[in-house]
Amino acid sequence: MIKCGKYKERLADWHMGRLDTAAATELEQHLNTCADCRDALAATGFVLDSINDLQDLEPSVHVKADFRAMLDDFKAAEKKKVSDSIWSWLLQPRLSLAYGAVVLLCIAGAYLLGHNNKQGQEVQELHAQVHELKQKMVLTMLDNPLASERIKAVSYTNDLKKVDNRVIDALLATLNNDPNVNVRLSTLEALAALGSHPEVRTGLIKSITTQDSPIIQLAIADVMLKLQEKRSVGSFRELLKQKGLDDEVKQKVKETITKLI
Amino acid sequence: MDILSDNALMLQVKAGDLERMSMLFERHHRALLGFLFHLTQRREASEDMVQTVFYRMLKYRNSFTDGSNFTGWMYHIARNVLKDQKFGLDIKYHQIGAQEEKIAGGTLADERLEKKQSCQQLYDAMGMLNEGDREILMLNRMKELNYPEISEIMGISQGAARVRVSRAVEELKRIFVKKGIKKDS
Amino acid sequence: MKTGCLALIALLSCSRLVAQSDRQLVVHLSQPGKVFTLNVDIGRAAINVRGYEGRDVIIGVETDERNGRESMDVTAQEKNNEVTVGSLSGKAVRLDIKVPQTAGIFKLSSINGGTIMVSDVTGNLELQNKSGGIVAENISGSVIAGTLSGRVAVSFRRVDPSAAMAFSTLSGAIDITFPAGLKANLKIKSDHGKVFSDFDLAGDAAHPKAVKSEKDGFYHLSIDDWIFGRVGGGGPEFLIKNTSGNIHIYKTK
Repeated sequence: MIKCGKYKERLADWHMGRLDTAAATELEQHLNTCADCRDALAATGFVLDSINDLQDLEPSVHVKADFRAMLDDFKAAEKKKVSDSIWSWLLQPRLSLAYGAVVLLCIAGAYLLGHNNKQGQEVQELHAQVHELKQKMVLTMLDNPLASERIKAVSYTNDLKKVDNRVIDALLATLNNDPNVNVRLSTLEALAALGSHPEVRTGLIKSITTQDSPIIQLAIADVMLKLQEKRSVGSFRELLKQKGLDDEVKQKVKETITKLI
Repeated sequence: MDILSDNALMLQVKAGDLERMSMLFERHHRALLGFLFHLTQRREASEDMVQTVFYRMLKYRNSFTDGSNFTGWMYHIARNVLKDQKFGLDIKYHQIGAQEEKIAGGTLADERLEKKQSCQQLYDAMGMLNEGDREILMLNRMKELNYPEISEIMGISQGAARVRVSRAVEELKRIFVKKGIKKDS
Repeated sequence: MKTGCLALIALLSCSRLVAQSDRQLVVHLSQPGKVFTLNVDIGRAAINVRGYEGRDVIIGVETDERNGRESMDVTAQEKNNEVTVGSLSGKAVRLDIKVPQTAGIFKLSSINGGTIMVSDVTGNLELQNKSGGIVAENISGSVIAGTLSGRVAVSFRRVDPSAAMAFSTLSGAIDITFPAGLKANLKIKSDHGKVFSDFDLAGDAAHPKAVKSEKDGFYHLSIDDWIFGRVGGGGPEFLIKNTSGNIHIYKTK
């Protein structure tokens, strides 16, 4: 009966045809003599066949179209990366180009960017779908176990043309909860760039008293000053009351309060 | 006619011929959708995840090397996408509704109804397995995946993969007995 | 438990391994050669990790001899190639860890024990310290390093071309050496220190070009904000920040 353990482990493999000849023969010989294992085999076969018989879904009609949209947009984005580097070269103040060359490059750039242009509304819908996909990417990546990926996700929010509340909430959650200081720092900078959203400002103000890393505390002070957010003064005063506050932070916060009032 | 293997197609995508991904989509999206749906019971989320998987394969095309196996890689990504989902892999027991199947009518309808019911039974039984067992049985079900790919995807040794499959089958057997699911002639 | 038992336990799920009279813990990976993870999160630890030619993770432990006894309360667990090192007591300890040179994920964190040092490894590094410096040498991959007081010194043999990175300290210099072919978007700020870069920092549409002073060769902030620099045409974002101390970005010759 002890031997049967070894054979029972192989039943699934035998049923799927994964055993090599030697092992298969050995198993078959055992099955000839062991009713218990034969029953077990029948049950294993039934289970595996039931699983195999699961029907795959018929995909909804839009699945193919969504893929086509995603692929087209991806291709366009790849092309844009090339033209982007041309643009940045053009915009360097030190370079002075002949007017004709600038015009030529502008035309080339516009052609590349407009290459995939279709009917107005269709384009909008496709772009909306892909924008949605990009936002989902960011949200997913913000949960990645690697800090490097989370920082990348944060930097992607700079590329999103408009950012909805889900992303803002996720960024604020990251600012307040991420275990890695550097992730929180880069999130803070990304939120600073979104300072025009009132939810961002409110969220940042709330963060002031909850951050415990001096690096972040200093950076928030800088951001509030940059955003000229006077409503943060109250929270900064609260922060000053905290025990064990770093001296550097104390000084900066006091300066910031003075400059904001 | 020149029929390229999955691996060859993916290498072409990596080399810059992004359009080739649509051929891979043609070939694999149904099975991938099935895999995701059997594990989540959520149609919309599964269809979204299919897009995510293909998007990631485009994005990370540079990590596909000559020695890689396309299907193994794809299901590896699929599993990561599944893990990223906030709702986790708890199966919600919605009935497979009428909209999921096109009932043809007549005796065919009865057959379909029976199949629908037995499908539901199986989903219920699978729902009682733990996540890892469910996953490995679904991976095991894919014809293109063998132990080398499965072990790579799950991050375990091939020996461990064998043992897990066999244990998952045993566990499902016990659940079948509990629920009275039997083979009918 | 002897090393034989350690190997067996490594195959089962989640078990505690406690070193006894040996001064070394040898941890076998479930899948040698595949990506491994090293987690070290110990309050008072000086951590030194080095790549070597073997397949195991070898943890050398030194505690304060003056205690008299060899108080070995450092533990290590291995599950599916993820090695986690912890300490039961809060005693100061010095860890000398040898790891395979194949790709790994390193999450090393300490508060008050000394420097975190990593050298000759490949992979993704997340290094966090509070009062102590961070040194990473001859790294192939990516680094995210942060401390509150101490120097951050990192040198790369090879850079992961798609990974975002960050280097931050409150008071301390930051010295990073990148290979010449670097492609990245640098975002640098030092509140009171000076910034010096071997690489040309190009501006872009959204950000004005940083101004390099002819006089002393340092980059100066024209406004009280970040210096942006596209290197090699641009790439993933690298955040580099400190409050006091200079920042040097070197190019490998």
